[in-house]
Amino acid sequence: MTNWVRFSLPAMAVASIASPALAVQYLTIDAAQKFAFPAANRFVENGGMTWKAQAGDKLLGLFVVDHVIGKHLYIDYAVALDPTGRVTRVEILQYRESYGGEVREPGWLAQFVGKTSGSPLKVGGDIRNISGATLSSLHVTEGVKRILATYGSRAR
Amino acid sequence: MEAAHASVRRARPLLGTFVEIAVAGATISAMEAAVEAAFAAVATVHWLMSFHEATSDVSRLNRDAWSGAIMVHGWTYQVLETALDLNRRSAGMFDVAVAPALQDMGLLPRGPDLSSASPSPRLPSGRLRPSTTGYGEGRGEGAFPQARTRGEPPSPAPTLPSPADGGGKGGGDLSPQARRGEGCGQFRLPGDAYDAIQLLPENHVRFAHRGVNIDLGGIAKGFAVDRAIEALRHRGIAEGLVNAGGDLAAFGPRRHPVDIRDPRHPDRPMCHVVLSNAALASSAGQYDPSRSDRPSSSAIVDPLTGRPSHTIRGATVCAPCCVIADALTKVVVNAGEGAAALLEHYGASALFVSAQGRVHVTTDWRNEVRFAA
Repeated sequence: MTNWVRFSLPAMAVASIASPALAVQYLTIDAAQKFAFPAANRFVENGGMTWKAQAGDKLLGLFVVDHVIGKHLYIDYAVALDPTGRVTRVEILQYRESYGGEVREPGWLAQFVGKTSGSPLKVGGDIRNISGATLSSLHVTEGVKRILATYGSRAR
Repeated sequence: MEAAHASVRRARPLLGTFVEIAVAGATISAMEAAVEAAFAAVATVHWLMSFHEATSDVSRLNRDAWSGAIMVHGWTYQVLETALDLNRRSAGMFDVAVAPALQDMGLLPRGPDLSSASPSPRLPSGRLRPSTTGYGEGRGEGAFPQARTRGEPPSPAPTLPSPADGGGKGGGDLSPQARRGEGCGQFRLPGDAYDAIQLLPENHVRFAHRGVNIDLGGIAKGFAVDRAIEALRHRGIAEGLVNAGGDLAAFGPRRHPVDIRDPRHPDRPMCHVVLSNAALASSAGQYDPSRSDRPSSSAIVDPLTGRPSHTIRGATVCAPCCVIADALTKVVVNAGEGAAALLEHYGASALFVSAQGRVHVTTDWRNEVRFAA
């Protein structure tokens, strides 16, 4: 039979300093371009963080990099459009996660006794997995729509 | 030859959140292909089960399944089977099929005069998972609004209700899944979603009446994680992790540290667990009276302690697969310690946080959970 044990958590009344504490670089712009357009042999700058993906003179599509800023998040992402203006791919390039100020305190880190290998909580390095209230990707979704509205017709 | 220790880690916006897939232990090209396949699986679940995509199975069912059986993708059918099983075993505390009027009435509504096929009124507000980022307001939860969780105590109905109508081209047969077994532990059979959704042969689904409206937001994300894991394994990947906005699963030899947010202060980690060949999901069950359509009957009474569940601020469940972990968080938010038998049935561990800041942890998990302070 499953039973429960109970702990009391401290009130944690200390004001949180919301600052980006962790970041993940998923893909560089170069790498993301190649994944989005494997057949392309060049990416011609088109201004405003947009590139034309070309195979020789043939236009394969448009590659757009944008970022969204939220209360605690700063996300770089890339959108690939095909020549008909359709979104073919959305990739997160870089993601920053606010974690509050505590993470940077050595004393706080020391609380995690018995931590395993893999240097958990390495600030600015390998991000840890976080479970909790779900982060909404709404701002990225809206950003993709903006990009589509701006560049969808220009991709042609 | 490519480096054996390389890893690949990608993230895309899907399921209304960020889905991250990380793999290791194979060649770069094999890992890239596997990650691509895993994202494709997640995207398939997204398109099938999104509440907002007009062509999704969920939208098609909500629009038309009351008037006749609708054929759905096998995955949608599978999720519905799991959802009905959970509904039955949890005495209705997990419910994907509550139309607004049904909810107001408590149990089965009789008439089809529940005119709207519109989303339930409390949705999509992310009521159970307030955003930690300020993104969650309004329609902020994107494609996957939160699961309906019951707003009232378990039905006292002691007997197995009969299907509301013979229903459907498939002859009205409930699936063996929907028919099988009794509720476990102290739970009683509720008989609402059980009646409202009829699982017919050959992936056909029919709703008992027009007022039935489903939202798979509380279970599809976990299911998507499982499908992604399956895609990775199928491609021979030895270790990987899939994280859909905090609903995550890992396989392989590596142990993955996971921080669990404090539901009272979502920008802070509260505790820390290590995940290995299992799944983990969390719900922040912030009770918000201003958003409830039933403020006066908000108390969901825990059958064991008699305490109303709106004192539960958040729950995390560790289970063998993510679909179960995801769904069980909603039951724990509603039932608190009363979910013990159900957790045991599914081989799951859990913790939840009360508004008073007490953390309740299942004994099998107590030595795994490290608190931040």
